[in-house]
Amino acid sequence: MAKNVDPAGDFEELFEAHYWAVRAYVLRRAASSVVDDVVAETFLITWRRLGSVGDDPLPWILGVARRLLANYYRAERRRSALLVRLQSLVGPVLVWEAPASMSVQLAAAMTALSATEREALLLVAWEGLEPGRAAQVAGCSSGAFRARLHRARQRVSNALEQGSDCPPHPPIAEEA
Amino acid sequence: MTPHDAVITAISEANPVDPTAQPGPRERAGADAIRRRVLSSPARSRPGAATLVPLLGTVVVLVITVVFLGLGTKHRPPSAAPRTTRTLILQALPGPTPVITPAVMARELQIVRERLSTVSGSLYATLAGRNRIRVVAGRDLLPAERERIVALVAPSAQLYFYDWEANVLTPNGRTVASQLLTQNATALRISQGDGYEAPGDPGSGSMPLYQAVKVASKQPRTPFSPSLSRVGPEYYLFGKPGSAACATAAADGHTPFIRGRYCLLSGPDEETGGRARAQAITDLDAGLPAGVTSAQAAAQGLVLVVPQGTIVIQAANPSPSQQTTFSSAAAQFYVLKDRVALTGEGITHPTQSTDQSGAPDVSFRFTPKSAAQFHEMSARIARRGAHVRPSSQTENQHFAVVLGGVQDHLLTVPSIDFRQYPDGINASGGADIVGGMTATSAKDLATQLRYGALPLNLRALR
Repeated sequence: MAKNVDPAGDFEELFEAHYWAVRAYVLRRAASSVVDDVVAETFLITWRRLGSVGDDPLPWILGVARRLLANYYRAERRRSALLVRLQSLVGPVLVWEAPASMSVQLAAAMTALSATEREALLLVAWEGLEPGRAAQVAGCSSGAFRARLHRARQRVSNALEQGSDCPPHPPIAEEA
Repeated sequence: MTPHDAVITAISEANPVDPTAQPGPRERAGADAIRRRVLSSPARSRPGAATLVPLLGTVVVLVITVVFLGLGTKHRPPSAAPRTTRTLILQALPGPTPVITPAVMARELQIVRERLSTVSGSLYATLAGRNRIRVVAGRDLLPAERERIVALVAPSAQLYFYDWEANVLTPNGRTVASQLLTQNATALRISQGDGYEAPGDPGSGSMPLYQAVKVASKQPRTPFSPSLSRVGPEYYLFGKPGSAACATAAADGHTPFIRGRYCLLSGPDEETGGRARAQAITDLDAGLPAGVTSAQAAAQGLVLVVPQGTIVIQAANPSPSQQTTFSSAAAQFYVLKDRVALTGEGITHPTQSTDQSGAPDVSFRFTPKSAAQFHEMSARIARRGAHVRPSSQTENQHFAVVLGGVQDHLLTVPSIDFRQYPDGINASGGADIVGGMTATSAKDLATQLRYGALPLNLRALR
C-alpha cells in the first residue's frame, strides 16, 4: 500500500477492490441485520490503520472482520439467556448455523468441527482464499493453518463416508 | 479429484452468498453510504480532532485554492483554428452502477469498443488508469468528428420513462400535475405545449440551464429509493453574466456569447463516494473550457448543487435541423422529480427504421415485465387525463422518454389519449421513438440500445 501520498485515494481503491468480498464474508457469518454495521466498522478500522495494511490487503481486512464478528458473537451471547446458561456449562460458546443450502450430512459434519477447523474450510471454500492468505485471516502461521485445514477436510470426509444413516447432530456449543 | 477436494467442492456448492451475483441498487447504495461514512471520519494518523477542528477551514480553503490555482498553466488560450486531436479521454463517473470497480470498468470498456465498431475509421479504446478510457484514432479528428464520437460512446444510453406531468416542475418548484386543476398557465404550457411547440420541446415552458439548475437546487433531497435514476448530488459550475470566463467559454465552444446570462463552465459532475465535494470540484476544474483558468473560474464562477431526487434534462430536439448541444447558450431545459416509472433495461430488439412519413425512428420491444410496467404507467396517466380535463377541452397527459448519461436528454414526450386508451396501452407489440432524429442519430441510438447501457457515465475531458 502506498504510504499516505493520497490516503483517501488509496482507501477508495482498496474499498472498490474488496468491499464486496468483505461484505460476502460477513453476510455468510452474521445475521443480515448487523452486516452493514460490521462491514462499516471493518472499513473504518481499515481507514484508520491504512498504514498497517500490507501489499495483500484482503486477508488483512478479512482478519479485522473476523475479530469484529467474534466481538459481535460475544455481545450476542451476553444478551442471550439460553447461551448464558450454556456458557456456564461449557465456557465461551459460539453457535454455528449451517446454511439451508447445505445437505444434512455435510451440515452435521461441519457442525461437529471445532470453530477454527470449520473456519479454515470456509475460508478456502467460500472465500476462495489460498491457504497462505487464509492463514492471515485466521491469525495463525501458514503451517498451522495447513495442518488445521487438512485435519478438518479429513474429519468431514470421514463423516460423509460413514453414510447418511447417522442422525444429524443438533447445533453444538463450542469454544470461540 | 481427491476426497478432500470433494469436501471443498461440496462446501462451495452450499455457499449461501453467490460469489458471482451482481449487487442490486440497494446494495450499491449501501456500499456508497458506508464509504462516505468511513471517509467522513478522521484517519488516526492525522492530527487529533482538537487540533484539526480549528485548522479545518484553512485546509479546505487551501485545497480548493490549489485546485483552482495549481492547474492554471495547463490551459491553452483559445484558438480561432479548429483544434484537431487523435486522442479522447473519457472519465468514468458513477452512473447506473454507483461503484467503480475494475470489473465494471472492463464492462464499460467492452461496450465502448462495441459502439466504436459501428463507426468507420480506425478507433481503439483502452483503459487509462482506474477510472478513465482513452480512445485513439488512426488520424487527426476534427472537432465535429470528435463530438460525434463522444455523442456515440459517452451516453450511458439507459432509457428512463417518467410520468411527465406528475414529475416535471414549473419555476415555482411544484409539479405540473398539481397545478392543472387550477389552470396555472405555465403548468398548462408545459403539459400541452404552446400551440406551435410540442410538450418537451424548447419553448414549451422550458428554461435556460442556469434557471433550471437554480430551480432544481432548491428542491429538497429525497432519500434513496429504487426509482432514482441518479444517486447523490450533482454539481454545476456557472460563469457569472458578462464575465471574461463566459466569453472565453463561448469562443471555445463556438457558441454565441450572451452577455446578460450565466454560462455553463463545467459540469454536471456527480459526487464520487467519500471524497465527495472536494472530488466533484476537482472534476469541475478538469472540465473547464480551454482558455478558462482555474483562477478565473474561482473568481468568476458559481457552483450550484442539485440534490438527489431531482434531475435537469435538456429539452427534446424538435427537428433534426435543430440540434443543440448541452452547453450551448440556446439550449433549453426542464426540471423533473427523479421518479422513474420504468427503465430501458427491459428493451429488446432496438433497430433503426423509418416511420410512415419516411422520417428516421428507432423501434424496439419490451420484455413482458417492462410491458406490464409500461401498461401500469400509461393507465395511471390516462386516468389523470380523464380527471383533469376541463369540460370543453381534451388535455391528454404524457410520459417522457429520457436518454440518461452525464447530461440527461429528453428524447420525446408522447401523449396518451385517455378516450382511446382509458385503461392504458398494451405495449407487448413494442414501441417506436420518432421525431427529432437524423438517420445518423437514429442509428447511433439504436446502436447504444443494442449493446446495452453503460454501467458508468462517461464524460469527455478537454
